[in-house]
Amino acid sequence: MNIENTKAQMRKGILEYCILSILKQSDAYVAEILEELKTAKLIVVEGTIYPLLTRLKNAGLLEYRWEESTGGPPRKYYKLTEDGVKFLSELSNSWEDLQISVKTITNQKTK
Amino acid sequence: MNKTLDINIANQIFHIDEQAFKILKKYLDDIKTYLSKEESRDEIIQDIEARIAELFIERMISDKQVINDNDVNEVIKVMGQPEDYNLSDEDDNSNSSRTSGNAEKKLYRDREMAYISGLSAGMAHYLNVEVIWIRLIWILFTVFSTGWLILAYIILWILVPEAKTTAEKLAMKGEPVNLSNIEKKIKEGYDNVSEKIKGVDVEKHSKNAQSSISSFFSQLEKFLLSLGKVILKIIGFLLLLVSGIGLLGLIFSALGVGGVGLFAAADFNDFIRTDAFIMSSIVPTWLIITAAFVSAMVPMLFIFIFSLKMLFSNVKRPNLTFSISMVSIWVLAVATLIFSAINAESRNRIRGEYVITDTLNIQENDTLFVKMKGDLNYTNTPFRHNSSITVFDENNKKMLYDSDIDVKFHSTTDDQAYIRISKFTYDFNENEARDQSKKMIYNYEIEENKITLNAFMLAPIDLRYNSRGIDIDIYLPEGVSIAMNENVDDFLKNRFENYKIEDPFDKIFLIEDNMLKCKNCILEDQDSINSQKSGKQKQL
Repeated sequence: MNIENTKAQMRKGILEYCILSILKQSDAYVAEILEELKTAKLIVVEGTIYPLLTRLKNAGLLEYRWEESTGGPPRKYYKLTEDGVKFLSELSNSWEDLQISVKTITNQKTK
Repeated sequence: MNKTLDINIANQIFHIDEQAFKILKKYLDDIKTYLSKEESRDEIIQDIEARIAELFIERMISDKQVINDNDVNEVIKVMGQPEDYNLSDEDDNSNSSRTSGNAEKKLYRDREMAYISGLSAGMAHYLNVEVIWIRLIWILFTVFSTGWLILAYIILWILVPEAKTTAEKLAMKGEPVNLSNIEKKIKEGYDNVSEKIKGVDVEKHSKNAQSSISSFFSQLEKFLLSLGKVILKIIGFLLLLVSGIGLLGLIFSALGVGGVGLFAAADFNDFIRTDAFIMSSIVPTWLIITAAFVSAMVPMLFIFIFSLKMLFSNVKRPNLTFSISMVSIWVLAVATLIFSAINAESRNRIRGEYVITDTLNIQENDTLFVKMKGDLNYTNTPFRHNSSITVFDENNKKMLYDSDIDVKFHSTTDDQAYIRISKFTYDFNENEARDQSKKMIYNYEIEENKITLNAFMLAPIDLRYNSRGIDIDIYLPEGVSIAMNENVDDFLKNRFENYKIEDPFDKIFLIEDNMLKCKNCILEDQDSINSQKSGKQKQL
């Protein structure tokens, strides 16, 4: 079992949840989302996020608009849709549940 | 100094140097390949490009104008390797990959299994055999070829690219380049590549076997097909070997022969002498030899290319212009050869001779002493009959040395003994032949009852294609005895008995019925007794 692999899998699972959470606070374009994810050490390289964003958008959870930027290509600003908001709250609930479950088990086993 | 290119990423223009462009292009292509199963791949790529453009702009602050490979590498570091773009659900993709079938295999060098360059390992993947066999073949053939195969190895080393990207590594093994395979590769970290190939095969095969019994036959069919492919490859390899050696041989012989002028055949003389049609055709000899060379070379070349194609499917077929011109040159060469042969048939060379006669002061019951004189300046075997070489005479002029000297003894009813020396050549026209014969230099000495004959003649180099020689006829009154030294032995034409001349002048001959007969010879049966003696004689 490859530890890096497992870590990556764990991170990937919650990445969508985190992206939606970031966008709940305010609309953001990719570089801003990346900034937050990097600060939280959730991703190491940026490439990961692009397929993910596109998939969330295709699933109708996100939408975007174009905004001009000074001295660069126009930026895609992402925004949560209504479905996205619902989806996020569901995810939040199950994340809470999960956290509790995981804590209960790991506390028991590791103590 | 570097060449720069202008590129457009996300509608932004960048100056990028060539090397950096290559890296960037490969990076984007890899991502495209990697995301090939993704529905909205193009959109993702657009987003990625936009981000790359942003990162480039960030790096373009201050006076920097051109993006170099360092910038590109930094950006790739930030963006991550193609495998980092993967977030897809594994099962979905492995299912879809099954249906995509086998990709075309390509020959690459496999560095990971390399002893030297990974060439053998790459060939093993390509031919679908264990690498040990390829290595064995290399070693065996290198020994057989006394080492020149090492050259072939080096050439292939240079020509065959190394499998660097994941896509190339998959193509090397003939696995389709798709997400699940690339993923598989990366996860395995290349640690146990050989293990993996076996593992995949076993898994695949066992699954097939479970599905139904009929798949046994499909397995068998697959096996036979791959066996057939292997046999084809082996045949291709042998063809390559044979045609390669043939080509090299032809080129070296052309170079070797060409060393003395273009195909100047002085060294080639023996070959020409035996080949009557080369000598007697109106077509110039150099043209005939060139035609012969081309008519052998062209098919060899085609076999060579064909066998290369058989072995490696990524070898290009020769283009049409090349093929057509090669074939037409070949047809011309063959036509020339046929014409020469037919022409030679109808044009015989005629003998022309130049004769010198001299009288000999010999009476009945006298003994004539005959010996041959050689010149060690020209050869170390002066008394071998019928050898022909080029030499340099005392004026350092290139000459033909020829020992085609035939000596015959005849009896005559005249009282006068005489010697007739005929220098002859063959040419298309008798006068020409006679003139040529005059130019040949042949020396002899007569002193009382002793004749000393040169064992060779010298001829001008332009006679090299003409058949030529010296006939010496000695006419003696009946009853004259002849004594000869051993050197004459090889040049005598009308000897009757089977004897060997050993000691100088120890045997006496008479002429009977135009044949030389030995008066005091020990015949062959008793030779063994004398063999020791003769051995000594030769050392002296």
